[in-house]
Amino acid sequence: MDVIMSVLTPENLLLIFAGVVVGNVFGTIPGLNAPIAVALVLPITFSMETLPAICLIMGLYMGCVSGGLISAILLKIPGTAASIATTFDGYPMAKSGRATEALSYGAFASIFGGIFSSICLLLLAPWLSKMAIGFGPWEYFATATLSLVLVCVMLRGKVLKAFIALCLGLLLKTVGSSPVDGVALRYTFGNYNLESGFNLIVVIIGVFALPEIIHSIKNIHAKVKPMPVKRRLFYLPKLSSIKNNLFTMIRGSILGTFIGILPGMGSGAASLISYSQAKRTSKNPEKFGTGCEEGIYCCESANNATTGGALIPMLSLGVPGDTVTAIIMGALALQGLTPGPLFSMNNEMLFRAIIFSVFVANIFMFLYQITTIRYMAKITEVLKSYLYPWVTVFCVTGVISIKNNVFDLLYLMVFGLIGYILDKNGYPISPFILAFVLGGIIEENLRRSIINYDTFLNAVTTNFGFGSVFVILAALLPIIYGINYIRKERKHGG
Amino acid sequence: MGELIFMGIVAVVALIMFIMTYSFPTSIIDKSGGAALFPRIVMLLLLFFMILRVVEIIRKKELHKKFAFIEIFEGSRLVYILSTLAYMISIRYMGYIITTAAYLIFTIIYFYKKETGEDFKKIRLVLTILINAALVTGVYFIFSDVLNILLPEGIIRR
Repeated sequence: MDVIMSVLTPENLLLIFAGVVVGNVFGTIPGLNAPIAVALVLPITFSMETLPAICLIMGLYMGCVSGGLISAILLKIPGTAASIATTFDGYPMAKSGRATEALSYGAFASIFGGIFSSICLLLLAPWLSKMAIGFGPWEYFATATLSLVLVCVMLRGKVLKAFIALCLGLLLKTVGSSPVDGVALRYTFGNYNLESGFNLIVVIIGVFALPEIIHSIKNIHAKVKPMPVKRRLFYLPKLSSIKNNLFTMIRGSILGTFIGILPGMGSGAASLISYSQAKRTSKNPEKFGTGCEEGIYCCESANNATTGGALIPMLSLGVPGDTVTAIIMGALALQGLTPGPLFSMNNEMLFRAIIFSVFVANIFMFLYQITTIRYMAKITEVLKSYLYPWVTVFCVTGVISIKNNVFDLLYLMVFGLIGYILDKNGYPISPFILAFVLGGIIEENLRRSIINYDTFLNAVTTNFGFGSVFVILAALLPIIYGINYIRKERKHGG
Repeated sequence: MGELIFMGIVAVVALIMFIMTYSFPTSIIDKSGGAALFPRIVMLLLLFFMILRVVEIIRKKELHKKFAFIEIFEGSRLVYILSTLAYMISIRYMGYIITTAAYLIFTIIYFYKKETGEDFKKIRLVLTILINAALVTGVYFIFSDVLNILLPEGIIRR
């Protein structure tokens, strides 16, 4: 009861609502996404208390993931990667004059998936934490390393580029004083600004926000024409439609939660996999792609279910499930909190409050969407000539407010250019940023493990447990992928 | 070819960084390899994956594939980058309010013409200047007075 009351204060409710509204706007506008939105509000959370800051971020996260469906349905442009699959049936349905229905199906599936995964979060995270309570440096090193390898291996078709991006992220993370001894300054070139390394928030804002603006500004003149939306106060899907698609939503939510737990997969992959599963098992697979309800329910429930799923490993193991949770981990660190096995035990109230705030954010997101669908459609028409300069100003304001240091702004631009070069040449950004988040944990725990066990080999063989299994898996997975890749190439060549 | 040049530059930088690791101090009681251990492992892995990528590029005949880099420094993108850089550098001297308002007014006017193909009408121009200046001042006071977060004051000191 105390947990519920701690979240249900006017201040926290207002922050969740504000987060949902801003998140929806970010999700709706193509090019802006959840990592950008969360990264931009991080500096504002400095001066806030922990729970209100979390409420704001959770509202943003839920709002962003769900907001993408509006432009996906009305413009055939997914606002975020999570809504790519929504365009397959959402846009044809809108084109046939049923835009309102498509949006309401999407909004309902979103709340269904979101609440389903927050229940999973409540049940699974403490269990995982208890399992991980005996973690030592070796196990931390192993878990973080395996999750980075998984992120790369799962990016099919881009695995090699993902590993290069990962190594670049890890390399840039080594700038500044080294962990464990803390006295060795690395690659600072006598610049005291670099002694504490590159600030995570500056890097996140740099690689996510600036490249999108640099890319989109060239095509600023491109015009988009949204579909007309009916003028009604509430847009609720019909009960029969919900009943007919209940199983689709449950399956999509289970898939989304599971995929959210896996590092690096993300909501985009979840909705695409859910869509293909729904099509494969549907009684009417020929209707998919023509504007069928099932096609919207399956992908929107899956992409929103990844939100709770991605929070499970972050809160219980300290390993983020996706880019947004990596940034949220940074936000918790700013508040002096370290997510991990002890988090749910030492901060039980806060832990439950986070889950409850996810729950409330989902409800707010649904209520907001069903009442404002027709206005949200207008957001897609905002002039980019006003939008991009203001987003840049928020990036600069966010960065300068961290330490009031102009040097941070200079490397913000450098990371913006690095992000652009990587992203536009097919090098995935997620391994780069996750390497930045987990690089410190990996290095520190690797060195502690070697100090404890004398050599790396001793660490693997002594006290052989799941830590060693994870390390072996992390080494084997890229090799297995490589062998399969060569086999496939030879097959195609032959 | 562009990607090969990019990887060549990264490889040279990585090699220089590798050589630099030999100057990192290491305690005689530290058996872990010291501060140099992790950067060395990462750089060796990076070089290994880049060699594999070069082989892939040559095998798949991707040598002539366009590499996105030069386009950053062309047209609207160059204007955006240069104006943003000027904004970032001048913020320390001129202060948050003046530089931000000037940056917004300049970029909005420039990109409005690019987006719509029309010039700013006088009323729209005056409104844009007034509204943006007011919003920037509002943001400054929210950060400094409500959130207690310092932003550069520059020439307007309170």
